[in-house]
Amino acid sequence: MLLQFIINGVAYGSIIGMCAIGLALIYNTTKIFHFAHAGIFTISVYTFYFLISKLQISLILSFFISSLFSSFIALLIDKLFYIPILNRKATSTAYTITSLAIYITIVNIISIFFGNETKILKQGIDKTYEIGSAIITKTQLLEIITYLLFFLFLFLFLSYTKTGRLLRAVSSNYKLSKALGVDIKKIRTIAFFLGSFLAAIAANLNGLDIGTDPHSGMPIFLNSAVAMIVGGIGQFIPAAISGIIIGIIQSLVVYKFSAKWQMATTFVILLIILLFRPQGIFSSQKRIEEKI
Amino acid sequence: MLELNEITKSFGGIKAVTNVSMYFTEGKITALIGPNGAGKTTIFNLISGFISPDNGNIQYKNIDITHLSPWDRAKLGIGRTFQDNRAFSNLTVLENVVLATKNSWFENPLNNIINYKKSKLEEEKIREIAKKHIEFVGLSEKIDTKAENLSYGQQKLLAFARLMMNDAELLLLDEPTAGINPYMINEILLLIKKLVKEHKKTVILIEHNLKVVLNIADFLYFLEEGEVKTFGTPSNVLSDPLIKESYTGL
Repeated sequence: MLLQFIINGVAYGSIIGMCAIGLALIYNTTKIFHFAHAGIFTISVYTFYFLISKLQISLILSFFISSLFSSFIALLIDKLFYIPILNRKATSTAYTITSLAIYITIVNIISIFFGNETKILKQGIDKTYEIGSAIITKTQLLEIITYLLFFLFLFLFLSYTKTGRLLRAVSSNYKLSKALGVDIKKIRTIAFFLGSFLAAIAANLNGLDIGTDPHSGMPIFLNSAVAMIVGGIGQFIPAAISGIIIGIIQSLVVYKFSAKWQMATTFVILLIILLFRPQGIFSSQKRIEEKI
Repeated sequence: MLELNEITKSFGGIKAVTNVSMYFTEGKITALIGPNGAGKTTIFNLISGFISPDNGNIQYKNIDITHLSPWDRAKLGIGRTFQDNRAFSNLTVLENVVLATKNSWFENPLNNIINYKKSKLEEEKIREIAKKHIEFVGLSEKIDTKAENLSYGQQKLLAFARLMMNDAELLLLDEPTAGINPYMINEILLLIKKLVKEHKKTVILIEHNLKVVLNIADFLYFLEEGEVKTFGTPSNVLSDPLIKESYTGL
């Protein structure tokens, strides 16, 4: 039984992890606490639903079209709302409120067109595989494999490509990047696109697994935000690892106590981390003393 | 090389610089001195494009750069260091320097994939150049150390290596010796002189240490309350009794 809950936790954690690294890409490079990330999650899964159920387009094609479409919507949000705020040199509060307003608008529009009830994306019973005494569904397996592939891709991309290093540089020191001639606009576009694409992939997989409703993006977003903070602000890969840890802990809470305590547990973890290790569990302490 | 023509900049009604005109000669070291609030860092921010002037214009190599973004100015060859040390803290010394390259061919991720071999060769070439600059500033032993683990002085040296990699022709150095021990000050001064003599750089520096100014500057602007009070060679400007009194209190 315990193994079953761990498997469920890893699968759910994969969804959180992909969203978290997407959020980290956006937050670290732009410093926008992008609530609309939850909206992008919802747009993707509903576009996916629309394409497969209404337009009868194949599952794989719909999966990628919806992911790309929602990523472009994220770019549009940046161009139409965030960049004008940036140009007016507004405070971070302006971004947060704007982002929240965008999220609420997206959810309301989706509710108007599709209703509030849960939509099932995949009919029939999923194929299952046995792992010891536990079982894993085909979709869960797909979630974990996709997470691992993106994890590997992002690790290589951020470590060994110039664009990856520029993303890390802008996230580390925005002003210095500007002074060195880094094309901030290009890096911002890459961060928004890639970050949103990850959320979209996670959304579609989650939709295939458990279905969706207009509000399904927010709990995942909150868990991703916690994973990002717990992993360490300014870091990318640790956000993905923390996502898995949160997924497993939430699953174990359901196993030992009740599903009612899932979110509360996540935020208790956040509070403990903020109190005792505010730099995150994977960040090292910065050098304090002068050694020369 | 660089001209500031009748530049004025205010912040919320407070004039930071008023009607300032300056000229900076190629291949020379020009120092800006003056008491706190004289407008020295504002002038650096105006030259590097972090702020725009309310009036006046800035010409660099006969190009009007008044309204260009900081990254466009950096691409034209204007590099700067900051008063507080700035580094890409979570990147290694080598990565910090490699990032400053102007070679943008392999910035495009598609180029990395489509022409992997060329990309690899380009990267290797850039790494070799970066290593030479790191050696030049004396940080070879720290090449794989994360910038956040360098000392204050070492981070200043790293900033120089970045500027060299950036191939900036005009270097704006904001208090390059502040907070540095005397041994390291000499190292940095030698480095600045070498950059001008061997690498044909033009340097503008903000400096409070008058010994440093006398040691390396060819020309000197004395600023006070956002205005240029005097311009000349360091020995001439600093021998002016009025400057001595207002700046050093002597």
